Amino acid sequence: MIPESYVASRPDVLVVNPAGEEVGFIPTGAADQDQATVTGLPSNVEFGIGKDSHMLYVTVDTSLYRIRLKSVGFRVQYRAQ
Amino acid sequence: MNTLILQAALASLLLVGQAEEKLFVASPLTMPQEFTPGIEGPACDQEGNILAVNFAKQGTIGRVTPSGKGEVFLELPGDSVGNGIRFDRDGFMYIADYVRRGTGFGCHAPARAKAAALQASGEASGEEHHLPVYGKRSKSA
Repeated sequence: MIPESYVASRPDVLVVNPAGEEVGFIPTGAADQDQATVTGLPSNVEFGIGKDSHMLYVTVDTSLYRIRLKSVGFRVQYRAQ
Repeated sequence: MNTLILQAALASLLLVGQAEEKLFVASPLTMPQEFTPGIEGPACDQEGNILAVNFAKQGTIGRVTPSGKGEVFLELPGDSVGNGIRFDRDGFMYIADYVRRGTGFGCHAPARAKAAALQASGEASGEEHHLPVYGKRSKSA
């Protein structure tokens, strides 16, 4: 388990493996901010499609951000029936 | 000769535009304040555009191209504000309504894009702007 206070102290996208272990984190804002005025907190993520499958789109503050990854997204809705 | 120089200049411009972001680094694709602080629910359509709620103002759905150009794709009716967005394989976009819990909207995104393109070219009236949005109440929340 990852403590909530730990996550809130560094706005980021956390990468967790199926065993629940942190395998990576990507900052989206400065660490150790005042919690009342914190910026850079992401709200949601989505992988791109096609040539952008390795891009992770993230909604942060008032913008759309993206992160280039080595891994690609998996989309259940486009699997062959 | 001039054509060659022009082509070289264009090629270098294209290369600059396509400079890949650094691995594992979050970088902004849209300008600050293009969305409201209520930005949520990014979802990719089949062309690779990213749709997210609250572009320019609350209650809209924005569409951003992979190169970062954003626009209002549609406005939800009434005081509805979107939250999560998902697509199915047929191009239908589903939007959860954050204001009326238990309610959502469906919109056939390709049809909406076609209507918007016709409207922009003056071949269709503005009436079609709101047509392809359907609201439905599921089990009450």
